[in-house]
Amino acid sequence: MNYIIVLFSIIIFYGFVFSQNHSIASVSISAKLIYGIQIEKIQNDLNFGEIILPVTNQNIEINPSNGIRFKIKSNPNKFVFINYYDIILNKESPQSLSTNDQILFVPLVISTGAFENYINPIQVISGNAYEAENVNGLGLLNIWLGGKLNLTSQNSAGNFSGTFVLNISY
Amino acid sequence: MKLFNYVVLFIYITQLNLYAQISSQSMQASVNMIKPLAITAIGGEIDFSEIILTGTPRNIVLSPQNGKIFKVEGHPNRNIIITFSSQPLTNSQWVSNFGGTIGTINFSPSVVHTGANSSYSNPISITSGSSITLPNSQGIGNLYIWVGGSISIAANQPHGDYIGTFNLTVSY
Repeated sequence: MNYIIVLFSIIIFYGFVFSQNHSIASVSISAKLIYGIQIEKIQNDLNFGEIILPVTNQNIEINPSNGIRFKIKSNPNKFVFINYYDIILNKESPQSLSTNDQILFVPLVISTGAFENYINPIQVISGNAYEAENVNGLGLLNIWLGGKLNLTSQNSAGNFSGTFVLNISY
Repeated sequence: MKLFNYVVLFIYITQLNLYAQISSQSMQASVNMIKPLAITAIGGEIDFSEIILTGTPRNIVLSPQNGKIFKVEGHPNRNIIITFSSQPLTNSQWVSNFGGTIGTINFSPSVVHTGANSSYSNPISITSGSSITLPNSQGIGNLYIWVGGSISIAANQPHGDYIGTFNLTVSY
């Protein structure tokens, strides 16, 4: 009789164990927080200085190594699109609006990657993407801006200026 | 031969004695066999994808419909308890590969169920610890659970790939 009671208790106990059954699912959660891209001017300006008006058409050039250096900060190993365009420098306070009062500036843009010195320069083609090199968790690109002025014998004397825009994006 | 006769006689007497001790009782034994619970991730991801840091605090929300889908199978019409909790995400693994600053963000889950419907219709919010009856679906208790959530990003949150683990427990 005792044997039967024990057996019956075991059955009840097993039923109790099964009724406490549980199951767990583990899944991963992920989020990529991307460094907000930034650009800052590090050194120099693009100043062609004083130019004696030429008697024939000629180009005046500033090598990028002597031009403006920008530093792009981004997420490491992420590609950064760089866009820029030729610009027109306009004569300040022109007496009459003519093509003689405008000078075409053709930029020459160079990347030295993470190098802050002018080492291993690579020409940056507008519209292309360049990989920001990882330096301690930060993506860096050093961009050097030079270019040339297309001067004509017809250019008038005066101060010319314009705004160059370098666009960067992921 | 004499010995053999004694043995046969002994067995006969013993059996008689045993039969004399037999009594019988009848009783009913019953047990309710419950189908074991199982939960399986069947699709989707809890992936907030790429978020560009802006320097201002933000709360990024992932709808359960666009998150992870789980299927619970168990005994039909039986109540189950569903438990889960907020989880920290860290970029420590990313920092060990790339460098930078270690940070954490908190994942607050948003959990809903659509009963036995595998499509996202008429979602019902689930709070951790709540009890839900497994709808009977052709003799099997089926329940579809959808998990999304939100993460809170601080103004000075370090960048990097943040990962964590979310556990969803179901029990009778």
